[in-house]
Amino acid sequence: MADQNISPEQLKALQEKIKNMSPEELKEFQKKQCIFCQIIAGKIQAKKVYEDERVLAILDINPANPGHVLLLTKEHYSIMPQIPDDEVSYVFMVVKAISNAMLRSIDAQGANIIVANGIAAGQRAQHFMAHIIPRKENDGISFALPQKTLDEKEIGAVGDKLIAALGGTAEKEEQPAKIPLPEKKAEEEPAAGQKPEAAKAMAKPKSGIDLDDIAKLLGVK
Amino acid sequence: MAPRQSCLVCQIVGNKIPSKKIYEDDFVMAVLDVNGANPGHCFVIPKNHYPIIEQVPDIEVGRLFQASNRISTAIFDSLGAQGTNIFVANGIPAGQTVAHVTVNVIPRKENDGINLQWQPRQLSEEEMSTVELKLKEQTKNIGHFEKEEKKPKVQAPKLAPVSEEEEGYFSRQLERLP
Repeated sequence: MADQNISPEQLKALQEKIKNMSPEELKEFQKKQCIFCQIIAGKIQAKKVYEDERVLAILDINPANPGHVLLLTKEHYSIMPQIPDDEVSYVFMVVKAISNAMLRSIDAQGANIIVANGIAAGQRAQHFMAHIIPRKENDGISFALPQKTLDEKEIGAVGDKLIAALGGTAEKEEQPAKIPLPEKKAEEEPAAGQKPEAAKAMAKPKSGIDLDDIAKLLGVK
Repeated sequence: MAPRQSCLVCQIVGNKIPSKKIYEDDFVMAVLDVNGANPGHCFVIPKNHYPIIEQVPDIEVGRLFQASNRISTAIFDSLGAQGTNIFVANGIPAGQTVAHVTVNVIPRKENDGINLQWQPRQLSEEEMSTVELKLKEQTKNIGHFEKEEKKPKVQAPKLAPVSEEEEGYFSRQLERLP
């Protein structure tokens, strides 16, 4: 996003304004500030390589390799956990098709698919995107993940927490969690007309981290 | 595709190799990586054997990433992660090391020593336009996806599937891996 020259007072006023917004207002505000929403609206030029009603694929202007594609949802989502199941499903069907198109059109020998959720993960824009990076042998790119040797007890504990969070029971070691598929969280869409505070409290997940906070970090500073 | 005895991931799916499973449905399984990049690093895998993502049917691709997103959300909720990465290496030049499609879901914290960044390049307008046109020539065929509701495949996808020759090439390449 463009570097704005604003005074500390203006910044404070802006932060105050954002704090008092309802989730809907905040989304609308983020949309206005979002360069990718402006690309989708056609207000900013981009090299579009695929478009339909739900997604837009453009070339990254600072690619890792020629043909590096950013696949965007037309709807503004800051991070992937905010995206409903059927939309996630659709986005990645298109990712697969674009990876396939890369094999056929630009002599790619493979591709990396990368999504970053949150600044700590390397996310820089405030709009969800999947990077599809065409790869060739000896292209100078390396995404080697470090291999840590983790304590077995630690792994067990982490696994139990995840199983519980996914809706399974952590006691039964051998029984993986079964999650009913498509299921919308009612709390994601607070009814219109509710007080912002009430809506915000509703949107908070039960446990530790607030996804909205993480999403907000990416938005207006 | 049928499970392969030589495939490590198929053996995990078939319970022949013990693993810490955190999720399973009819198409997808997720296990914790014991040598993960961070504690909570998960592999999300299709239960059927497919070496590369282009071979995975649309419906299974959809379910694979739905599960990945749910796990990524669970990592935020339960492990106190500050971020997550969804990472796929498709093909050996992309760093794929096992001949079975694998989605990595990685919990992230600041300064955790994981580097999924790249050196940004600056291409000429001409290079960008050439690549744009070439890609568009292929992507114009996208848009006919399989739908879960319909039992048989109603529409054959217009995009040419990976030919047997190509598929054989990718698979052979991957099978050379230990």
